[in-house]
Amino acid sequence: MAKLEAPVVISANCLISGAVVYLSSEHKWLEGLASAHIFDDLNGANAAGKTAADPARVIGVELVPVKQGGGAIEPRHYREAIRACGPGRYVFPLGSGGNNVSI
Amino acid sequence: MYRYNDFDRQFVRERVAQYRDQVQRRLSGALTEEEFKPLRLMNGVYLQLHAYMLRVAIPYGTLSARQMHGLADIAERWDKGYGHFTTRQNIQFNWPRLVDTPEILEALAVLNMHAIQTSGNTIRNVTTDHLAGAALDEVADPRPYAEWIRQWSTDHPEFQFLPRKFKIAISGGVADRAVVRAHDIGLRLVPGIQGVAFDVYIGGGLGRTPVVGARVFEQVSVAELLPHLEAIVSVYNLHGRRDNKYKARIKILLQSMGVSHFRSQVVSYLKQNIDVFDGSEIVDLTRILEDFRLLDLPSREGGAYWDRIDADPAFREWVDRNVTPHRQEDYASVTISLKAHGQAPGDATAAQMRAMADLAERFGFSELRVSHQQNIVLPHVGLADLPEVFETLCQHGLATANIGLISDLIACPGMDYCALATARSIPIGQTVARRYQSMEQLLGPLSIKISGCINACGHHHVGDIGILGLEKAGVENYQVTLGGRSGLDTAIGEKMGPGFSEVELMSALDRLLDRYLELRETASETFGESVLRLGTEPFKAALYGVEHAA
Repeated sequence: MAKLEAPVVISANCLISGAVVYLSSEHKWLEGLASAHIFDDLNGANAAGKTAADPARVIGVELVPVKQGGGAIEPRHYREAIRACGPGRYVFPLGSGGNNVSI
Repeated sequence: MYRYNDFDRQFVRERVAQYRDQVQRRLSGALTEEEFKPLRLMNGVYLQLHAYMLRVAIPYGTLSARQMHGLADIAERWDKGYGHFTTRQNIQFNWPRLVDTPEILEALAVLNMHAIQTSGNTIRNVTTDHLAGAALDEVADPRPYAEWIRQWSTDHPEFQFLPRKFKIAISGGVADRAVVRAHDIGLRLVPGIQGVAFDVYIGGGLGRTPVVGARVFEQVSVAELLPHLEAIVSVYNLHGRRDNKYKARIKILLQSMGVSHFRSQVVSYLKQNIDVFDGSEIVDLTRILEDFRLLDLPSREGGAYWDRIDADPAFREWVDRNVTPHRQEDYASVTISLKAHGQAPGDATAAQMRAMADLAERFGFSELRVSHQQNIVLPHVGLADLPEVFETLCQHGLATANIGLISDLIACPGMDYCALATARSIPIGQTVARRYQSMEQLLGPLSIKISGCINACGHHHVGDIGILGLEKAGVENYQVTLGGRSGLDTAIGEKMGPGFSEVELMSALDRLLDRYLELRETASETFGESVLRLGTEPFKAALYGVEHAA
């Protein structure tokens, strides 16, 4: 894996539903990458992640490197892009692959 | 089919009650995630990328119509209206909520189903020939023996924490349709001195270190089968590595010990533990064999079938591709393709599941099978009923006539769902299926198998063309293997060279398939036969283009 670099968002899975959630600026776990708070320093992100890692609500808290373009948050790694988009919705960057996994 | 008895029903109900309590304790905070994870996994509940996933056991791939209806109900009530049939002949639901999983297991218990030992380092679902009990070339129906093994291995007190997961397959035909040599233990039914016997292959497996299983025992009698299995798994349990999970499968142990030494260890165990089996297991088998007594199929006139064959090219094409001759000449086995061009391989909607269950009820003695190629089989259909079966399948998008062709590909869930994956499989499969749809009849029988990581759930090592998705410098990269084969002559495909991006991969496949069409001696020489005759070099050159051939 590449070295972890800021900026990052904090992600986890919801304990009850398993859904991908992100830590918002209001310190709430919400679905949708757009709701994520962006941390520009890793120390702050780590501290916030530890504080928010309520085992009764979420599992697998991790920092996700992102970039910002046109006001949107975009994960740097395709795995996180797929996690954010859902199956079949993340298109191959070069564009030949199918993108309609869900039936 | 096997019928649950009171013991089975009580066992499954108790497991559901235990699991319900475990979930409640996790939600209340009485159990940590670290404590809870192995408990949920013992009941088939994984956490994947986007959601929990529940893997439900379909023993040896056999389902009743009632069970298929029940799976459709589960898909609709607790999931997103579809399920995914897997290469282990199971079904996975990709979207259950943790809080709903006890209810789902309860619903499964009512159907005489469960999710026990679909995960963990235990003996997993025993797989077998999807044409069992119907095939022309059958030595004996493997399903009763698979059920016998299921009962022996389920909740076996010594085999719940093996060094790694353990997979058994059993084949009953002259041809091997269960890929027995790619399993930890592969059993092949053969004619014995008295009745049937088993050839025992050990140490096969795909994954990180692909190995073709070796025949370690021959002509093992029925009475000696469970003692042999107990001894083999016990030797593995004792000597298998637990310090490195990548070296923990029995194939690594067999390689390090050598076949001869391993065999002597098993024989020694057998001698020392002669009283483990007291004969009651044979009584169990007798009861099971009765449950699986071959159906007495009534004679049928095939008039409507022959009329339709003459009149309807689409029906004829579907019969040619998807219908297999049956042991009784006025019947056939129907393979229902879950590979409509562009769909996720192995997925079926709740409506499709119900349609297939209805067909089984009306025309197939209420029985269905899941094949390891991720299709559904109606094993016993009268020829006279095939036209109506075909029409119904057409109405539900299930009549794709592509069995054995390039679009009948296997793909693991890959990174679209799986937390372990390093790349996506399904979109590659979808693109391949659409891209070559117009030429797949020309290409003839050809297997493409796609895995999204080195664990090889898509069986890429044994495809004519294997595709393995990996990560390279932060992007998905696809390695190609050629020359893999399943069956008794199982062979591991040869890795060709550097991987491809998804765009490069499609161009490389274009060149590869064009080269095959140029090089084949006759139109009936399959891709696999061409590679076997010519070796991989000319195909490798095509994959990488002329400038890379040297």
